[in-house]
Amino acid sequence: MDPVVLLAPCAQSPCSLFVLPELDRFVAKYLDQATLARAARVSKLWNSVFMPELWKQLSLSHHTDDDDDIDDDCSIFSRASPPTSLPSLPSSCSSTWSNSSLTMSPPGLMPLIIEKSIPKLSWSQRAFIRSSQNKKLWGLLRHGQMVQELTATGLTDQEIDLIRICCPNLRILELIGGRYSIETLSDLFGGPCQSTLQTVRFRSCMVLKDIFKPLALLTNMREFELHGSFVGNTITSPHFFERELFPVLAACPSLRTIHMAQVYIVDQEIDHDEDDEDESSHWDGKHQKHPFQNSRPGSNRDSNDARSSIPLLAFSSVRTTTADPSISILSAQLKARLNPTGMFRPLAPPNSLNSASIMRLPLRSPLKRLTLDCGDIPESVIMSLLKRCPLLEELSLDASRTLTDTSLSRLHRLCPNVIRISLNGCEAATARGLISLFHNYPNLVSVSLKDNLLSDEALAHLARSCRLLQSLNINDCRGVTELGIQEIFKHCAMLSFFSLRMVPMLSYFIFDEILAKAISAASPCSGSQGSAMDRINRVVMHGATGTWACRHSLESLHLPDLCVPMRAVTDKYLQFSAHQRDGAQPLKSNQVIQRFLEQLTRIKHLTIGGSSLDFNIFLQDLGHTPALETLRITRLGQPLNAEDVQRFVETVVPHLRTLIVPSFGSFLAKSWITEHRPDLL
Amino acid sequence: MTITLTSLDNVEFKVDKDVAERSILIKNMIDDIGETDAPIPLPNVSSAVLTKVIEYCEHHRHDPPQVQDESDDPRKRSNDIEEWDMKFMQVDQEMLFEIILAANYLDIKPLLDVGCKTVANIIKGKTPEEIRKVFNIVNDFTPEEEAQIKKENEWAEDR
Repeated sequence: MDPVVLLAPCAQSPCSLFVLPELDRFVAKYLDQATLARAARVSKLWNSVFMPELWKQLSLSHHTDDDDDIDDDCSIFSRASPPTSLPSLPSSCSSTWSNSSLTMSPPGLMPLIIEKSIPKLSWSQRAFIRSSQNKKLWGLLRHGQMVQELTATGLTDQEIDLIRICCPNLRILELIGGRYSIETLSDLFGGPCQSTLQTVRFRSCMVLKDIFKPLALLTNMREFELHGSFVGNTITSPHFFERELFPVLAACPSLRTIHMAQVYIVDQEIDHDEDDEDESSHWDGKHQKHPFQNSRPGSNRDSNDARSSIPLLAFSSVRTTTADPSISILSAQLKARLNPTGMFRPLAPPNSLNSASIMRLPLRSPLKRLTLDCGDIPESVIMSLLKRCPLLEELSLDASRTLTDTSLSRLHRLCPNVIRISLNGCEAATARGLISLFHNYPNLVSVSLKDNLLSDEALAHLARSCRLLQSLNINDCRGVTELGIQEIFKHCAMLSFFSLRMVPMLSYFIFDEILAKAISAASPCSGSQGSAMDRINRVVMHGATGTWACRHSLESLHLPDLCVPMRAVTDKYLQFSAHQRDGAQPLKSNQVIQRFLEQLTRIKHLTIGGSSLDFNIFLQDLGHTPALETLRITRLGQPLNAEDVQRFVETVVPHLRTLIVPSFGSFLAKSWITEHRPDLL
Repeated sequence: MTITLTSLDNVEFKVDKDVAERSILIKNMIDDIGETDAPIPLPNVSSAVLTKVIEYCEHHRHDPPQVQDESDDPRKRSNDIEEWDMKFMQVDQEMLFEIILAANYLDIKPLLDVGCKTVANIIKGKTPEEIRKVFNIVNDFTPEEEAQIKKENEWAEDR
């Protein structure tokens, strides 16, 4: 009901609400743009309240006559999470070049002042705004200074230039899909918003050549993101870090977050330096440390300390002068055996340092969050970057195919504060490296290990050493069985998110309490190499009590592919469980799942499915979990009929907000939902 | 245990401690001075408003403590008001504003949210003229000024 009908116009204090400045913001945050725009026309007071709210966040896209609706598309796009795949270039981009070349501003033109508060624009820029179809540009002239967050889609260099002049108070800038030249970006980042810009995001941009140089202008930058873009910089090159990224780290002391993922390199041409020969001698310089380190284990640490106290230039010269000819020969041999591209010079030789800022490079960056997902970055390069980021708390090295167990096991020495780690698809790492990682980081809160080779042993170590674990993702992991999963269920009392999509060969045994009790009594790391029969045998030998530690914390569980356990295992198991229950009838798979689910008191999002599941049994106790919002059933034993769904929705889970049933074979159920509860879809 | 609250017009209200502690201001006060029988003066809230606020707190006394949900979703929804809250907020405009101010002063975040959502729902879908009428506001723009604002904000309105 509309409450307005009950409201009598209030005579004495019509705007009393806006006496306190923070209250108008509370109201404004519930208003959409159209309402804000209308509210801003009510009176001068309301204008002063709602105009800044309306203009605070602006999404601007390149606008042409033929694609009027691109604007809407892009504003949705910008709110969404980072795109996983590279969207095609907006059609407007093709017109970009002709447009800007036509309206290039003639040099030496006197800028005209329109109004006192209006930024100075050149004649051509004013003409451009007037001729533009983009209505937002018209208002930008007067209100650009209110814009704090700008999402710009496919803009031309000319439009970026307008933003530079009109929006001096930008805090967050998101550039989506466009090509931006280093000159434009340097102008923008060196312009009025230089000191205010805190967050810069590039998403799905085309050829960003040398974008890291202009970034170093942003002295107050806190967050930098490069997602799904094509760059000219050779990110996988060892040079990239020392010449491009480290200067940015040095110039931006407030930088806390770097996110680089799905970055594609367009220009594979490595900028061969002036000193090719010199370079090879420095590769030697790096290698010659290896025999040295072997003889004196502490020397590496010593040299690190030396680096932090001695200026870079001095250190480099020290290093070159101490080169010993005899060691050089040895290192040359080493080099022949090692792949030189896999090696990284921790410090560049003085003659390749062409920028003075590199000289003042601090050795420690206050970076807190780092995402690096750019393909085959050599392990040594990654490690040398991490060496400079001792304060990291969130680390994501997805798809770092070069990362080995050795690096994983010494990660904690470089970054001791990490509590969130993501190592999706790290092919070179094995369970052994992960086990030592878990031991070294007992405070891990979030772990993502998608698409890795795991083992039950690794999960057992994780469960036992990281008791604070809240989020665990082992989608697509191989080498895991029910036993390892149960270790997690049993020991992680804080676990609230657990995803096990596409983990092969998991059966309902993961939910069986007797099995779980038995495991808890078994030795913690009894290995996982044995066959399923061995496991059951081992289980039979022990007997103990225990329950699910995570039953009051688990909020999201995703387990869409339960399979039927092997016949031999089932027989043996049933025999054993009958024995345990004093001859009582053993529980069937559906009852086991039902039993487990009813214990989860806080479950909110559940994804479950399997070819042996009976809808009328395994979900019938979900009524005990009032928090359940989303239920996604991926597969069932039999097709669903409408009556079952109706009864389930109406009596078992009346609070459910989203229900997804398998599309195949459940047509009747689906049409019932569509007809009676469309809000669930 | 009961707490005594005194309104602006010196009316005393006895409420249960868990009801009173819906207000973070009062909760902090009790935490600071310890449990006491002395009445807590609330010099910014009239008895009429305080009656409403206590009614709200009693109805929501068993709600779980609000989780800090400062997600980066900039535009929050205003159409998810509970039915009871919706009825509770069907008061005249002055009372609505008074409740919001009291919720702000007493630091009762859920009540403040509901109040602001209600105001937002009143504003939504109305023309500027209709808004002026509802809130009894005088248009102090010249026609030219209003036309200019309309033109500058046109992009936002014609969605």
